[in-house]
Amino acid sequence: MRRIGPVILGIAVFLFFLLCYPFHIHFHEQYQLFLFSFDYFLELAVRPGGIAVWLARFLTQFFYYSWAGAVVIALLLVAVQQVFQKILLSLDNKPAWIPLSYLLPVSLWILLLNENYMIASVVSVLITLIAVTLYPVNGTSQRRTLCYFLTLPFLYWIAGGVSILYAVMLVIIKWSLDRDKIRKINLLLHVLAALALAFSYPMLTSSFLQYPLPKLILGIDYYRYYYYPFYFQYVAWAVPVAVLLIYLVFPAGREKRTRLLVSVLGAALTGALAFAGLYFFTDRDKERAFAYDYHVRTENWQKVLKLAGSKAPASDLELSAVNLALAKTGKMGEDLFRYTQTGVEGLFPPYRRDFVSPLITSEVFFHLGMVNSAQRYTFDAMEAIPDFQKSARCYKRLAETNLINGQYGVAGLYLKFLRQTLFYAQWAGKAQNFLDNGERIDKHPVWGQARRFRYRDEMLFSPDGMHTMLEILCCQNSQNLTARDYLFSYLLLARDLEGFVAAFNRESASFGGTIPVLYQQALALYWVQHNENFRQVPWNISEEIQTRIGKFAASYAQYTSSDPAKLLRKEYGNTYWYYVFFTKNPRP
Amino acid sequence: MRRCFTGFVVLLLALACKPSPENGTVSCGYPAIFPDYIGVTIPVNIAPLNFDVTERGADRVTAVVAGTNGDTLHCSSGDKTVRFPLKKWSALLKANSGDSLLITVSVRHNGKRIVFRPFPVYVSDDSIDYGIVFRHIAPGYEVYSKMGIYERELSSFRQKPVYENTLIPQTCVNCHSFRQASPDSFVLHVRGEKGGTVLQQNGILRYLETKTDSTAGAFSYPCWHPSGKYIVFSINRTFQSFHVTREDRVEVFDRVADIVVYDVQRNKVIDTGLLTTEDHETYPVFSADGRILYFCSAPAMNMPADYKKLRYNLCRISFNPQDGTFGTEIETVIDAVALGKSIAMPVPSCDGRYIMFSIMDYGTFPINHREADLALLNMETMEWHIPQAINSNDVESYHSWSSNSRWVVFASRRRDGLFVHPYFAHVSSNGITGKPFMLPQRNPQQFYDRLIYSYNCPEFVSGPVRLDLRQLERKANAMDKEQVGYESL
Repeated sequence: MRRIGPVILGIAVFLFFLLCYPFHIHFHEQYQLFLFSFDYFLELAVRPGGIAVWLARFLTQFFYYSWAGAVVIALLLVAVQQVFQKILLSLDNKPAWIPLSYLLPVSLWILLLNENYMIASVVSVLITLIAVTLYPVNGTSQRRTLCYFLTLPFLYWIAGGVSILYAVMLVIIKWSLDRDKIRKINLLLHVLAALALAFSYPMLTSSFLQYPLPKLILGIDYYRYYYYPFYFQYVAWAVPVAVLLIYLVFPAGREKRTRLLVSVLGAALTGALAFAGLYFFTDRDKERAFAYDYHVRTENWQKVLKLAGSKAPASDLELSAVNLALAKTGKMGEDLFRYTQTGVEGLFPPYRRDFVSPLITSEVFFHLGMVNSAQRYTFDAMEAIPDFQKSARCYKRLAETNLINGQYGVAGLYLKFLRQTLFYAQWAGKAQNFLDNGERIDKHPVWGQARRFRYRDEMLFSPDGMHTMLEILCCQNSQNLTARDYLFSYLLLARDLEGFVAAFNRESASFGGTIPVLYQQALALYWVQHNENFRQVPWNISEEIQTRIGKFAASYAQYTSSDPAKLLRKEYGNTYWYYVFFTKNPRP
Repeated sequence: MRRCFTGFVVLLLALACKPSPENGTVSCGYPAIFPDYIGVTIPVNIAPLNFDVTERGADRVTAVVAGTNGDTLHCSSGDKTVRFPLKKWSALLKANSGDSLLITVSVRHNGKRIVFRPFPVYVSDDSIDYGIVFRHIAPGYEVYSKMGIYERELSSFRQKPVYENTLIPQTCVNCHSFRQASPDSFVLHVRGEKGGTVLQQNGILRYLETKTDSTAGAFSYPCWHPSGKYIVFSINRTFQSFHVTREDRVEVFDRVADIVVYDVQRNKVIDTGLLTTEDHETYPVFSADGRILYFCSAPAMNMPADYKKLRYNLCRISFNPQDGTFGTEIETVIDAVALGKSIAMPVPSCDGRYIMFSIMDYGTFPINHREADLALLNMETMEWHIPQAINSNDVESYHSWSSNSRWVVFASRRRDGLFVHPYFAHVSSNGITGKPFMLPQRNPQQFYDRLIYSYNCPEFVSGPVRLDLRQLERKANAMDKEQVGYESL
């Protein structure tokens, strides 16, 4: 069991994160910028817990690949279990209780289901446990006390607030080791003094580090929102203490049968907690949202559409990813209403001051050629990262937008930082060759195109005038088909049929002979609203659509008294007509 | 024999460590260095002007600084950065105060030593204040990450935070202002849910709620009255829009801009109604004697549609320090609108002889206008000009006068077009400006290349700022704020 247990744990964790939570792994990676530089190390090392944070961020950079992230998390949790097991066995060789040593990695695993629970927290716990193993259990009392007092400040510096766990675990261990009553009281006094000392380090730190004192005591880098009281994380601190108490207070018994029973019970308890925790705390919706974001970031449009095909997009943000994928694959005019549209917010989600939502919107802007807006949304998303980290993903995009805009000094700065990373250095090195070389950028397939698409004439960004902004993009460059489709979709979603027809008449040449089905539907609707039949229709609307709109109108009239929205959904749910008449709450 | 050999090696090492610039090929040009300190005028008490030689392929840099009285300072470097020892540098400046230094740079290039033409640095005997206080913030848009207000000692490289927004989470801090560079009297605004205005005077910290039922909002841009009895504030409802073309990024404008006087002792806003009109009145500053208030004024516009038409004049009105009231007549000092320009941030020198202000094509926020320049108004002749020596093709904006009125510090985007850095310029008694120099750093190239923050609002201070952070934290968390009163005259 002692050999196979960690293997099972490791494989389970690895498979879970690889198969069920890969995009959570990418989520972690994209909101940090680990630099191989002494300055970066120093910046972290001067604060309590900074070394653990540095180590954690070093490991997190490997989350660039989800499989590597899964390996890292699995190894960390197995290491936690192994070290904790070592502590327990060093006190008394009672393997019957060993299954309880899995409670700690399991609780950390469950905590890691929250995307804001940081790897630094796991690393800090691991370091703290390692520090406990260094405690000379069999040494003299003086040696033990000395070790305790010397380790505490060092550990506070290395691992941060979790060093309290060390103090508490050592209280229990000391108490259990000294059998003599007077010595116990003496020890207790020592320990209380040490505990008081443990609180004095954050006090001392507060004189040069401007954080709220409670945060300096309990740690500032374990949860992404350092100011948010995420009390659940302290469960992971309580678990080793509780297990230690159980281990020391309750003997497992001498009979083989009792010991087996204890082992089985311990294993069952751990297994049940793991199962229940994973079941209740796995957030599949967030994983899907992160998947959308990742696929948009990597421009894997087919995967975006596949994701949307398996389950309807649950938010404006997901919908905006789907709509971008439709535009990029040339399917917007055919399939826009295959997915439940909720208005123009599905094209441009409303701006929010957080670190997640502006990123997808910035991708939309980038692909449209709205370079400045892409840059702004990217920058704001990065600035909103609650633990003040910078983002490699954002730096990369900012380098691109600045290259496109010819701001080479600024682009160079971002590229210099990216050169100090592991996984972005190569890209940055290549991009550096484009600095101060406008001609070369013009020839670049993405950046050159963005240069051709971007705005030429000065104006201010207007969130309420997006259709005008899209129109300008279309007028500037007829090759910008994404802008064209976005313009049409925007007008359709805003139910601005007059505007759509006007825009269509301007841009119709870009379609050649065939007009996409949805645009035909919109044109047909416009036509029947102003004409009795299709005899003189100026657009190439297919016979099928002409017939179908008639049928739709007839069915609508037939079902008016019942529930037309429900009855027509099956046949007409993916048409523009259905959207116009039955979809509620789009933005006017 | 062994001792002789050791001595020989030591001698060789000593020679290697102190290479003489005279031994190389002479280049007729100045060396390419960062920051550009060639021909700058510096105060006698400034930190060492360490610099990096940016000549391609150059290494093993040597610099020899020679004073006119024969003093020299040798400095060698294994890399491209020349770092002068602080004490020797300070002594050299003192010895050459009011005179100039000649810096001879030599480098190794492809195994050969090249000696560049010596460049001058002028040492003014006008000293500069103890330090500057500025805000470090990433040059972004609507969201801020970690930021704070910091203090930098100018005679060394020492820097320390005054306030960082990690202390009271989810806050932003801005508009720090000192009474004539005094670190004992200052205000700053903490923005956010727990925000308020920090007012510290003579060691007493107050946390103010400055929005009243009768004013348009909370206090914005401040300026202390020289007596310390009043602080004039603008009250701005500020908005941002964003440019879509490559050249520009952000446009800041006001929908409301009023000016009120705050009576520090009575904790009351005094509103005479003259400067709280429909027009936009902003950037208020007291004259050196405290008897005149200067400000910028523009008619209200339909914003953001008319953003390019928004132009501000420089105006003034008399001020009565006895009761905190204004006179009755507003006088236009510079009719910038007639010139198709807009004025912002007027700042009088402490001796009352000059006003420095920002001038741009339109708008109210020069930091986002590449064309924004600094201009100098002579208060005796009432003539103004744009000193070419201190301006560049990029943004020059926020500025502050030293307490002896001989130095200005200003923010400029001239280095890369994005990050705002502080530059210092000498203004002689007859108003001639010297070539400005960038804030010295220990390893300048490395420092500025890695810096991801701008230096916002550099303000001179005459000594270290002491802010009781824990008291501020307690007051903010407990929302223990003094409500500012309102008095209409």
